[in-house]
Amino acid sequence: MTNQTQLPLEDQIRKAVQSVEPNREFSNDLWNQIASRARQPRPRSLFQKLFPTPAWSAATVLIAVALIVAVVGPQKVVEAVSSLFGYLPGVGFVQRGDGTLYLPEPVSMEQNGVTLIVDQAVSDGNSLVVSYHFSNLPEGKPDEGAPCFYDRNQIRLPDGKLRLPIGGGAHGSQAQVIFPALTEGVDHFTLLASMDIPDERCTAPAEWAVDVTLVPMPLDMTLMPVFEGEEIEQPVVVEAKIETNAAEGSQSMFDVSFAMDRVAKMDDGYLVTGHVVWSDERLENIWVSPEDVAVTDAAGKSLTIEPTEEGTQDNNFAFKIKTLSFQQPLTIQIKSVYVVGALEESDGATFSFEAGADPQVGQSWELNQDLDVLGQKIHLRSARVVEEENSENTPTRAKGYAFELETSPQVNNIFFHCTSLAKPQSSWGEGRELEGGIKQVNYYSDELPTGKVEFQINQIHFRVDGTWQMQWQLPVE
Amino acid sequence: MTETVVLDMEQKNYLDDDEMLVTAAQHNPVEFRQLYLKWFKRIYRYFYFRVANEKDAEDLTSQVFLKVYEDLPRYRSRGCFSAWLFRIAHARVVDFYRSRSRAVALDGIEQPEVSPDLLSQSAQKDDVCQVLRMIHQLPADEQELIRLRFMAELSYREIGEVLNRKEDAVRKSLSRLLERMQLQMEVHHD
Repeated sequence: MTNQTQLPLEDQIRKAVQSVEPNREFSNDLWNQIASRARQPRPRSLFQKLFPTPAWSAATVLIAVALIVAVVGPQKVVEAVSSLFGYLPGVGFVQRGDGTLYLPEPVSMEQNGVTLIVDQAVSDGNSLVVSYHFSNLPEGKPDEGAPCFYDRNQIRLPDGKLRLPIGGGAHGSQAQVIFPALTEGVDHFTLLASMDIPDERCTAPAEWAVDVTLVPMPLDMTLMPVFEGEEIEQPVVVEAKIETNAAEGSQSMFDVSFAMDRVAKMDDGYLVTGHVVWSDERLENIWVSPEDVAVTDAAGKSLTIEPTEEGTQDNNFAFKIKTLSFQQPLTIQIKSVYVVGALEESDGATFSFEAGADPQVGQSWELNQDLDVLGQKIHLRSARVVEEENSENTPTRAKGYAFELETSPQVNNIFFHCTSLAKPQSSWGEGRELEGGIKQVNYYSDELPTGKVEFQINQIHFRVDGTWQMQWQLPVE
Repeated sequence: MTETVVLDMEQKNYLDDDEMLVTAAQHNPVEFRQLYLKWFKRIYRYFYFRVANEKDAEDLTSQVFLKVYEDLPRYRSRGCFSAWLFRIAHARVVDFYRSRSRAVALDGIEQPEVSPDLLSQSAQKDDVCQVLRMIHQLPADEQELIRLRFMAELSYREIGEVLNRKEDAVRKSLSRLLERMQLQMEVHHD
């Protein structure tokens, strides 16, 4: 809002507003309440941590049937190399053109014997990618993990404004962090790296600030060739339907399309990126893991696939074909997808029970209710009042409900939301697998819901196995 | 919780793009602090000038930020973040008055009187008191316009998003409203 004053009254209103200051103690307390949640993994992550993908989906029972419609369009060998993009190892896809800036040579900063080296930084029309690593960073004891982890990265622009990452991150002593693109006319920034929660075992400096100046990328700079555009996407779009019949008497169909976006030729193979498209709004995301991609050539030879460092956020996927030698066309098979479903309150998947006015720890209720959540059958066995275990992060022990449930092995995560709370509260949870394939999900909130409590399963993660398959003429030079 | 963070509330001017802040917070929950810094005071004042007491304003502010933090992973940019934020805030106020079993006015809110709590904080008491009384005597929808514009510091476009009205209509409504209030104030002075 501008402060352009048109009437004296406006000034008076503004003065009145600005004379009201929130209590600083309240501000800090509230933030610390949020931060205690932010520093822990989100409830979903906590649950996921205890149930990493293989834990619930190790069984090979195929409960989901995938209908495959491979569309092999009129193939044409694409010889045209993208004039818009090139691939720069360590950075990724880079837009060619006048506006693209890069770091002509690494810059470094030394503090207390430790050096931060910015290896590369490129800003194009899409983003600013900064790759850096530390040299001589103290190492922790073998079983204790790295003591110095610079997970808080920002850039400071010449006008003092800060920019936060929109992707990437630190991995050990290396980092590739993605920021919003520099605006036109800005070629300088300061990389700020620090530890969000300083570790007392780390003897290296807690904060780093490295000045970085970029220069225009020469138009003839050598980049790996990239193929993209209509020639890439059109022939390989696969209109697939994911049909789940896990829930007896119900069926869910999700229309899904896979499309290839870009191919970068590298020294030892091809980097392929693509994306998944779907129409069902209840699906929040569909992930394709490189491990679930198989490629064979026309002679039936299975090609080696490698995960790639290329960012695979949201509905994008990427994999690397680790060879330059194969017979076209290729057959690309996607063997499994990971579906994240998010339900609104109007989508159902609710259940309730009468907990009474003062439920006690250990008190339990038989639920025996069946829910169909996006085609996944969930059998709720029971609910029990539990108390959170003591930990450093939870000095006060919250009470909550532990739900025992049965699902198919394909279901990896389930998240509960209490819809009967009088006011919104922060909630969190955890899960574990009990004997006999029974799963337990603990739900905690600031105050234990009482009376007639109603819960909703508002998020579910599950794997759908299938063999979506397409033939593809990989564009080559 | 292992660490207590004391916030520098004056940091807010350094980070100004909501969509960037949202993306960063979705990427790393710790970065939610930037959204908090930017919007905390505005949300608090929006509530304070509505419920007219510190305790309820704090309670509502807490509810909004906890709710926003919880729902942020699901937030998708479908307009502007501030509109989403203040729709949540509006819903909290509606719940607040419902839970107190008060009569429901046009937009679900009964307006409170200007409380001593509110006025005691004001440094420029006389004129400010008068202005505040004028605001509180306005119909609910006009009060909301004032609060969104001056307490929440939203642009006309953002107010339009919150109220589902066109930007130009918001601008005209506010302009007419302020002129009317100004006239009333002058008449009162005379």
